[in-house]
Amino acid sequence: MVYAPQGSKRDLVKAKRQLATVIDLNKCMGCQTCVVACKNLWTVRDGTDHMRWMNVTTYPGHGYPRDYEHKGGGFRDGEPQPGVLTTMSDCGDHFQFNHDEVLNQGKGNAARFEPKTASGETPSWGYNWDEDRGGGEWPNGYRFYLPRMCYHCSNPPCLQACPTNAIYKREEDGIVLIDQERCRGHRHCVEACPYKAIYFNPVHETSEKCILCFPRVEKKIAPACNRQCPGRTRAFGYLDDVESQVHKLVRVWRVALPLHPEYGTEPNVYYIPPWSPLAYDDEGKLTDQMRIPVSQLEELFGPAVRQSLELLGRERAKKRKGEPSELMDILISRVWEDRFGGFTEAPLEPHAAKGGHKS
Amino acid sequence: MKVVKVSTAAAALSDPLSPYWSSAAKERLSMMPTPLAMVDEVSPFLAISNDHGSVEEAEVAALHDGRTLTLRLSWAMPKAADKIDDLDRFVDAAAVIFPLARNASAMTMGAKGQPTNAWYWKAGKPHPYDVIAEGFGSSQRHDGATSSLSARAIHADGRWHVVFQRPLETSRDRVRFVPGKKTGIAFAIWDGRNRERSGRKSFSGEFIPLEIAG
Repeated sequence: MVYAPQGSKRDLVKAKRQLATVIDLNKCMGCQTCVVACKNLWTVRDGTDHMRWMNVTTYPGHGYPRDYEHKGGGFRDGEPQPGVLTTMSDCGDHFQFNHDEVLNQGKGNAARFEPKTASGETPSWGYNWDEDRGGGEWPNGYRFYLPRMCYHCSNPPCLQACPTNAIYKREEDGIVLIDQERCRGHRHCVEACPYKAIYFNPVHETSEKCILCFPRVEKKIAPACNRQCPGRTRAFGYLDDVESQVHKLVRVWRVALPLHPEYGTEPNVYYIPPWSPLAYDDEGKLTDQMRIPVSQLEELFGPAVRQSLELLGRERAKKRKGEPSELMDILISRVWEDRFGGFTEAPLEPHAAKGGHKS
Repeated sequence: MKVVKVSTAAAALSDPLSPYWSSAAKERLSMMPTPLAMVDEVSPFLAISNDHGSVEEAEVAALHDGRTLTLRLSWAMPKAADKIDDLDRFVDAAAVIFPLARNASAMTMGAKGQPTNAWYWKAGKPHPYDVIAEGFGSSQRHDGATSSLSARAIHADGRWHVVFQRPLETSRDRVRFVPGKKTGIAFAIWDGRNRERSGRKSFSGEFIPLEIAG
């Protein structure tokens, strides 16, 4: 839906086209390359150090920002839900280290790296504080990585929440943006987003979030997180482009699912659920049961996750028997460019980089 | 409410703790939480707020010397919030709003074709904002300096005292004060510690008449 400035929130109109991303959780290894790609491009400015528009955390876990699943927002039965704001600590802060003391003051092992928060305190939480903890008991421990960013929802609560009409959704591609000239930093959008994908910039006193790399997208270059992923977990493109992998995975195979669909926001990032490693029994023998409880995956992706997992299981079995599987061929992704729905331009002209380069 | 004419220099009155203020005639204001259900079209999320409007009372005194209008607004706030020292913090603020059209409503900050002009002070900011609005959701902020609007604020003994000053005469798209004539006035106060901002505030209700002494 698009907001028409000066219009009523009742006059929202659907976007004509929608860009979407699919992320295969079977392949994400938590390398954080997508996180660093986004950080280097967009959040090294004043007031943005604590922002991780693209973030990858371990599930089960507190997620990022910390405990975002318990901070309200979104809709229930179509009704707006109250939400709470995130703090610097929830957003993983921006730790400062005593580099000079450790490296230059000749103290040897007497000095260790000690992080302090940006306000000088000893941290009690940070980004990925609970990395790899996961759930379950040995030998059936389990965890997977969940990459998250703004989902550029089709029913965006942030857009509805903003009383200064600073948030709009582009008709031509569905990208949701916060106009930094109109934003007054009221942060009703932060409260309203059930995924807590919006971050306050305390220097500029405005709210900011993932822009889906629109300056790149406008030049047919895939968003940095999608393009940089070395695990080839990402597909990107217009949902209505029948040739694109996102269309096939979301609309045709219906194997890619939104996170927390019950929040009612119609997000446009979809996940291939993780096919869990198998569990050991008490004698240490491998069973055919999944370690990741399906109930936990249902909590994240809704009841449709069961069919999704069954489909993945069937298609994997076909491949194992040497039978063809279009779905597995898509997910294996031998040809990297096939993933990007036509957004295959390179961000740089080929030339010798002098040092420091953008991706 | 009356804007009394005095001969005291405007510069002396700009100090919120000036001894002049203790003897100045003050109007008591009863403040209440803004009824936010009415902003549903602008923000259905803001409309469901219900824990705002902590400030219940304020005092105001206003006077002019033929050239400058000086208005002092004062309210109880045990601890000042004047820094955004975390991402979920807000500062104390106050606003004085005037109609720029006869039928403009303070409750809705005016409407299309019925503008209002407000002076908006935020703790920690060096200058106040001069705000033009034709209904909530349409506010445009301007630096107060462009209309010679100034504000000085002091937090002392558990109270905020904010003095606004502006020349009586100014450009046509701002409120003008003409000695002998009337306009309207209303007030809003934000308790930063209570996470108040935008529509989450206390307000004094609909415009009350403001008489500028001749």
